[in-house]
Amino acid sequence: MLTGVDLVVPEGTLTAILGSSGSGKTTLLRVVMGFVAPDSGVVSVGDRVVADPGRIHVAPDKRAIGYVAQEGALFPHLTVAENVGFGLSRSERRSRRRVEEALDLVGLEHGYAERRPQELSGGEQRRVALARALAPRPAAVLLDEPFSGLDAALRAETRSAVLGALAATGATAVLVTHDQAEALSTGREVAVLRDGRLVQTATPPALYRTPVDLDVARFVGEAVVLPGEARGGSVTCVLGALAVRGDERDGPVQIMIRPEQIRLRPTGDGGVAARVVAKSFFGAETELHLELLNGAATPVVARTFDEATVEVGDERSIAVVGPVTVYEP
Amino acid sequence: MGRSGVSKGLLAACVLSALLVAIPVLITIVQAVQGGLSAARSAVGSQSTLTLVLHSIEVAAVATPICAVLGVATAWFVERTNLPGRGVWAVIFVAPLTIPPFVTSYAWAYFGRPFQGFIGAAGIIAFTYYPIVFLLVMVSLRGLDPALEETARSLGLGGWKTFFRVVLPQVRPALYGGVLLIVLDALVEFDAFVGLKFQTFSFSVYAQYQLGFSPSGAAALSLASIALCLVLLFGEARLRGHANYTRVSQGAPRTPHRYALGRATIPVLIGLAAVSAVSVGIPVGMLVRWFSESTGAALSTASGNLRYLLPATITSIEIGAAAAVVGVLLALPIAVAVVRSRSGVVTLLERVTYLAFGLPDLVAAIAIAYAASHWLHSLYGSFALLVFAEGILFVPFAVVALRAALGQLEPSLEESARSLGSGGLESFWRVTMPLIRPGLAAALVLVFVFTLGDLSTAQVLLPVNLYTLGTEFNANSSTVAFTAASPFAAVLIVLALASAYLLMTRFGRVRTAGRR
Repeated sequence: MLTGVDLVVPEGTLTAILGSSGSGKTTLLRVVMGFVAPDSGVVSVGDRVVADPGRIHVAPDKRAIGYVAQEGALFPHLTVAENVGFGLSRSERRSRRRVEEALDLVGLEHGYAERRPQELSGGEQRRVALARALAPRPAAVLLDEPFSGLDAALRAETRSAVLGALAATGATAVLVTHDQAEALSTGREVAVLRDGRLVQTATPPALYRTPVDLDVARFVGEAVVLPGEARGGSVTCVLGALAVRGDERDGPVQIMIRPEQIRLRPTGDGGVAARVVAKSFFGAETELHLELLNGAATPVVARTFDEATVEVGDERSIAVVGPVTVYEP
Repeated sequence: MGRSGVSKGLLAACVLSALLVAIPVLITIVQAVQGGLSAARSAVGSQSTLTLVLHSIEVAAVATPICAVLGVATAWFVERTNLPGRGVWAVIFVAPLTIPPFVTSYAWAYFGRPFQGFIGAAGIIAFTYYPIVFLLVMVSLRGLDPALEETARSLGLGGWKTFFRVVLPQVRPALYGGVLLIVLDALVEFDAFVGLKFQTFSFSVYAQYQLGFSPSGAAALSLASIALCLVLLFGEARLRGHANYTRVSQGAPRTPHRYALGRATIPVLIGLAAVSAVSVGIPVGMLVRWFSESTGAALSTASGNLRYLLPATITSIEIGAAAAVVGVLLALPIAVAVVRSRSGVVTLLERVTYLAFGLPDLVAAIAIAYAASHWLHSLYGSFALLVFAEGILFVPFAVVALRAALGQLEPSLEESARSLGSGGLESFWRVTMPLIRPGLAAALVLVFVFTLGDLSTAQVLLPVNLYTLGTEFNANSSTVAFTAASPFAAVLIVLALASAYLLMTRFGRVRTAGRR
């Protein structure tokens, strides 16, 4: 199920693993946790090898890796304090100090300590789950879709509480998600998993701007793909001559442009003439589907923050800002 | 849970459990082989044996479908409709299972000749064992995602069509599991027929043992029953395929929609009352009648018996409680393993526990007595041996009850405990055990109440100086009048009804909110 997964998570940082459902991200997490033994390959935490088939398989409870399951998985028969103290020694549990520290970390008042998991909102449950995972000071923490199923406001609040707690403890963390915005906004690095393989590991901007192939490009964000002809650091296509990022190849290529690189101007102001054929309103931004007037069949998508100034049927001139990325045709 | 797998320690515990439970089967096979071919041929080959085996198969064939229909219908009414008094009905529907079959048997026999034959036998099995289907299907219905039914309705399916095309397929694994237990039980039942004049397979085994005094003949006959049992076990495994007990889906649990019975309320109530009148009304009503029908002679016997009542009650409870602990301890590793993994080895070990159950009780008891007298003489005739025999007999029921609860738990709970540094056993003890406490109680009650209602095993293995409610009831029912036996029956029925209440409120449940 998983092959060629070579991932190093630098100490004290958060790496997001991004994959669609069925990509193997949960399996990867379970291998690292020790719930599943790999057939081959090595897992180590710090200098310590915890899985090396045929030689070493450290039990999940001996790995000192914290785990925040989907939906939190709070023990329903225990209070918040008992949940958070679960992994602590008996004396630490009794003194309550570490429990309160852990609650502070995730920004929950001590008044929550005697509550039942059933009395908490979804976001509070995730925070308690993280506090529980952090309380025994694990060497690393794994979070499995920690914000899934929360509504937008709660999601943002929970997200900042969780990231704040992770940063405050300097924890080495791995967050697994299928949501590209979540991956890009949380990880120091993002690792893209596809069909059980790690196809790219990079910082969020690098991943977004120079994805390893068009599939990754489309997975981490919206992409406009056009054919073109590259020569000496620039590429010619229906949108004119564009600067190429990095790549020095010559000949026919596929060009990947992010919609926010495509800007609208009044007609006649240079650029390529286009007509708005459809408009989708997303609140802060509006997505425009454009048809080129020079007869090219390629659909082009652009984004604007000025919804009120554009209507379907309007003609505009479009220009591309910044360098584009090219791929083998 | 699937991939979380079964550790070596757990697997070792399962193997040990399965071996202990399989002792009677193994010994029976040894006895049959020792008896040789001629003994086997004379026992198996006789015309009367064939007739009796056919009797057993006929009873199973008639009673099992009735159990399935009654069980599914009662479960559906309790779980999915606004039936008035659902809580009380639920206890009434479970009660027949907890009333000792031999009491029910004598009660049916009281109705006269027609009820002492095939009709009585099939009727007793049907109306005593349908609660197995009721309990399992009820838990399964409870776990169903209401969205599935809603979707079916939105696709234009009517109520009945939705039931047959969406609800029934999903409760099918539970139904098959229940039916399997009932068929196995019906084939080897003996206690439920003690009051009747109807002879079945177990009677031929009993005859071999009692009249011919030929343990090897009885063993040879039992091999046939083990073979039949194997066919059923694999048949059920194939039917069930990869289906699993429904697990509560993630997210906020939604209460399923309850159908309003409306104008059907009265007819439904009448129908359910009729079922209860047969299943609970007959044994309980007959008990009342036995009490009221007191001639002078019978009364004096009854009052003479009263001094045996307390010791018999204490002994019965002691045996039942100890057997419950033994049965549940043996069932626990198997139930945990089955919920975690459906690998071939685990399934095989689980199925082995059914084999002993597929043996006539009497044969199992004799096998254990034989083993003790040959290899562990100090145990022969001891309390511990009886407890062990009763305990292993009902392991499949304990497994079923524990599975129903364990299946409700999200695997991420135990995994979270592991990630926090608790070992496998410690996680089980600190997280799983407290959560499945109601299901654990249900399993204990089930083994307890079956032990209470078991006669065959007690008759063979009861230490000489002891007597139980069951043996006293049986001894007195065959003498003067039932009045003499009725005090014992009364205590048995009170214990049975209390057990039915406990079972109903705890079977297949897990703790959701803790103590406050």
